[in-house]
Amino acid sequence: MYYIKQILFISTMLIAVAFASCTPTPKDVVPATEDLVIYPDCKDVVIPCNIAPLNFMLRGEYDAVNVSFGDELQIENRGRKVVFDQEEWQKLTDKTREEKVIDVSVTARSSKDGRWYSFPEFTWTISPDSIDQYITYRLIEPGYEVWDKVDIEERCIEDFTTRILANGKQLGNRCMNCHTHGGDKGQYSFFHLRGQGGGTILNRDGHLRKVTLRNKEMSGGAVYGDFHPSGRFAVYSTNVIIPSFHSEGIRRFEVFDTSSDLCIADFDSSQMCLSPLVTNTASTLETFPCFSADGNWVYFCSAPNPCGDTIPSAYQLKEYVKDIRYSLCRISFDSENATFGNEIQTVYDAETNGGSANLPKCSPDGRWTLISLSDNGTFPIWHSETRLCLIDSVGRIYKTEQNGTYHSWSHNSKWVAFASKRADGQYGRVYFAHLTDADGVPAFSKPVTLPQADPETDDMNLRSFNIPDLSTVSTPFDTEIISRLVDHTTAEVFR
Amino acid sequence: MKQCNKYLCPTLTLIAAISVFAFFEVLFPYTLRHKEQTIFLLLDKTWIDMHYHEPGLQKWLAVAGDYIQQFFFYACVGAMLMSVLVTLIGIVLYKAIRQMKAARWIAMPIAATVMAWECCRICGEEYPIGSTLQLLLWAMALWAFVKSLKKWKNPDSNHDKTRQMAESVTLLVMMVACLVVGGFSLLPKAKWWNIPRRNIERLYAIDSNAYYGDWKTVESLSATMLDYPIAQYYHNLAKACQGRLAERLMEQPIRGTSRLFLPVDQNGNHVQFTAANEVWWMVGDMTSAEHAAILGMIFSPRHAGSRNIRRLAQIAMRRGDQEGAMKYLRLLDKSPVHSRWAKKQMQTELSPYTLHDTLSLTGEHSATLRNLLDHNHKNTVARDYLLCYDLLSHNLQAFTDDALRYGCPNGQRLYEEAMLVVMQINPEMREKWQPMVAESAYRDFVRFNQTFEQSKGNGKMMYNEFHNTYWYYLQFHDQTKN
Repeated sequence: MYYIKQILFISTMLIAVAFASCTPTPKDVVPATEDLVIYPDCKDVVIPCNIAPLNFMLRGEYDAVNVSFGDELQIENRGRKVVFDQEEWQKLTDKTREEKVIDVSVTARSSKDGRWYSFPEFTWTISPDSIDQYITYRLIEPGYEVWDKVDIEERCIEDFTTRILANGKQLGNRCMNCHTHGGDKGQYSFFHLRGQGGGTILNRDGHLRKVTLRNKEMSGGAVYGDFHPSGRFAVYSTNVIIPSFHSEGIRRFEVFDTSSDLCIADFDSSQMCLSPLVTNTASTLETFPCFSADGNWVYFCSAPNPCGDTIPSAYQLKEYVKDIRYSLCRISFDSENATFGNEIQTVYDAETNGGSANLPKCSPDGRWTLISLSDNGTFPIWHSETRLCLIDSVGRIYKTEQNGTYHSWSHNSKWVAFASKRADGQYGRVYFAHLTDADGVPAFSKPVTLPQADPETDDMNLRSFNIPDLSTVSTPFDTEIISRLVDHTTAEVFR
Repeated sequence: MKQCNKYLCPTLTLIAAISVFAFFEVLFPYTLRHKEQTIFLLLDKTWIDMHYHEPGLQKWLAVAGDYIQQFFFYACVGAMLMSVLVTLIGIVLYKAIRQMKAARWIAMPIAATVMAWECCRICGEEYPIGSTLQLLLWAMALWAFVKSLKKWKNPDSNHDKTRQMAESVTLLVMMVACLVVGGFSLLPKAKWWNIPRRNIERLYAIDSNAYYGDWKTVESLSATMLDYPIAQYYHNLAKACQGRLAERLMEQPIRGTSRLFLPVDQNGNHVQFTAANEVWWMVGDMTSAEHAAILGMIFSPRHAGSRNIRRLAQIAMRRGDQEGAMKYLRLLDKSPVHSRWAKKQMQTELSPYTLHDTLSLTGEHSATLRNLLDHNHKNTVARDYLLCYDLLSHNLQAFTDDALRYGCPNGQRLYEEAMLVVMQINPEMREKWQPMVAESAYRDFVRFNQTFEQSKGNGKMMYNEFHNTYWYYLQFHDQTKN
């Protein structure tokens, strides 16, 4: 009798658990009167065929959700989250040779009244253009000039695997500037590690070096940079960066340079290449350099120094920041002789076209130069008016409505990754947008956020994603290797 | 006698529990409240993975500790929970020692000592309550070990041997489980010992009452602790909120502008950053308040403190930044302690104010304050801070300009003293300011000048009579020591 009672009790418990775990199915569904708000906002987006599952969640008070993806897949979940099984997702998206449009239909049960509501369908367009498999970014708390927990991470875009390339705590809490790839596959990369024992950590085909990219003629060390396609050179700016604060709420933070110049590092001969046109030029501020796809040009942003030929103090220059506008310029580069050209050409004139150009990046196919255009200054990430702007090879300008900055091209020039604080104004997130050019007019698709295994991750994340950078190959080091390099290697000083 | 023994242990246990409760609720209530403010836990795997990095199962011990710690938000609950935990430790330890055949008069003092030791540790800055749970697990492991050993060595002949063996093994398994979960090393931020300090408790009291806007309590508590920078800072803020910042400013032991605005830089800690945002919140500069609050959050033990998250939500709401506020309110809504407050804020209609946009560099407080006053001349807190900042910076020209532009309240001795100096340098100001200065101030100023000449500028000779005046500060305070 005792054992019969035990069995009955256990059976009842099991039945109760099974009943509780059954997913409710929609019944008596009525059309919703309010808009469907989901996070990430992936309604009517274009996604690469090799992206990780686009998990999302409903905003609002819902306790069950039923989502159908055309006739191919249906997901039923308790709660507000829609989470794909990796295999099911791959069936939906994998090996797409042609563009595929999926109709997504969402029905959800309100936790307020228990009724099921159906929402208007939206679409996912799966593009056969793949995106680079890896992306690196710096994760940092938005403390402006003070930090505590900083990491450089690499994330596989095809799934949710993440690796830490450099852990701030392990590296003595030094400031780490963002990891930048180069080469057609992303086989070159560098990042700066500031402070005692630091330097620029250079990776070329897996061979690591710690270098100091500064000689006696330069006013400062290397900051923003980009690789030459050959991997032998990289162009850098040297900046004296001043942080400041807006009193008007949304903008919060502004950064400006009291002086900035350009230089090129030759990694084979360990030399710095300078030019009087772009180095130690007090009357102009040059920054954000990048190489063209063929390596024959250095594109950079340039603004006249409002204080003339004298390097201003921060107090002097801050009064002019709202009027400082950077133009996009270029100067030729002879890779045979490692020399700059003799003439600077203006590609985007801020005076005539308006705005301030920042962060030029040339597409690998050589067709486009992408810049961030803000009202003024040199720190577009905090400017909500910043928009991406494309310039083609003959100088035609195409302004878009996409808020974004710190952009990076995929190797096939079809996708752009960029950072934006559009979601909450404080924390930067990574977005991808697809570039099409029907009839020669380029357009970006509605951007989609870097997907997360848990769609609530971005809500909980109190760190910003800085400077996302795409690569087709995984970076061949991790935080242990970097730690050993930093602790046991003296930086090579470039001449 | 037997009856007496029967009630002795429960009575002593009750006394111990009440003592622990009284220790925390009467002597160290704000220490527990401060602990709650520096943590923020969500029972969500993603959140836990982001914020808890202890090795192995200690991670879950830390989570359990923070789960308990969040309820310190409620009055008396913290003391009750600590009373239960610490008393449990004492009981388990007592039983373990008694299993070793030690007499009651040996076991009780040892258990009481450990309880007292743990109470002291709990008062440590950033001491995690997970460490108290760890101690409980260690005590349980000891008890299980001793009891198991006893059963093994001295089996009870009246009971089935197999059953006793099974019990012994079960106890060993329990011991191992306790040690595996508890770990063998202290949790991060836990220390082996700590001496609780009443002055630290008082500072926490000042800090907590400031956060809740009880400025009268802040002023009275901080008045006797002006040797501490944070206390002096809060004392000034409390006076400013009551329109009396300039009152007795020169009598404070720590001089210079850094006691008006706490520095926010790499050398600070989360307590300082958290405190630093309060003045900007009261003055109305949301950018500076947010900056300090974010740093307070970043540098808190888990990079996320409930107080700073709440403040960041409030700042965003005051700015009219709906999405920014929702970022933090969504987090708070998932917390059992803060969800009610968060829901209420979500329903609040935002009425933002906008300022004319200016840029200011780090530490450029004057520009910020002027911008606030240009937007709202009635912001008397900002005005007093600006005028006092000018004076403490030895910037009489700025004081003159700001007083003329934004007004200078009557009857404030500090300002009168400054006006006298300005009038001496710039006689044109006499017409405007002469009526505002009291006769006594004139007399004292004349006397100061006479004494200065007679002593040939010897500050030590003048100290006793004039060290509380602005004239003495202007003449002898070393500004580089700000």
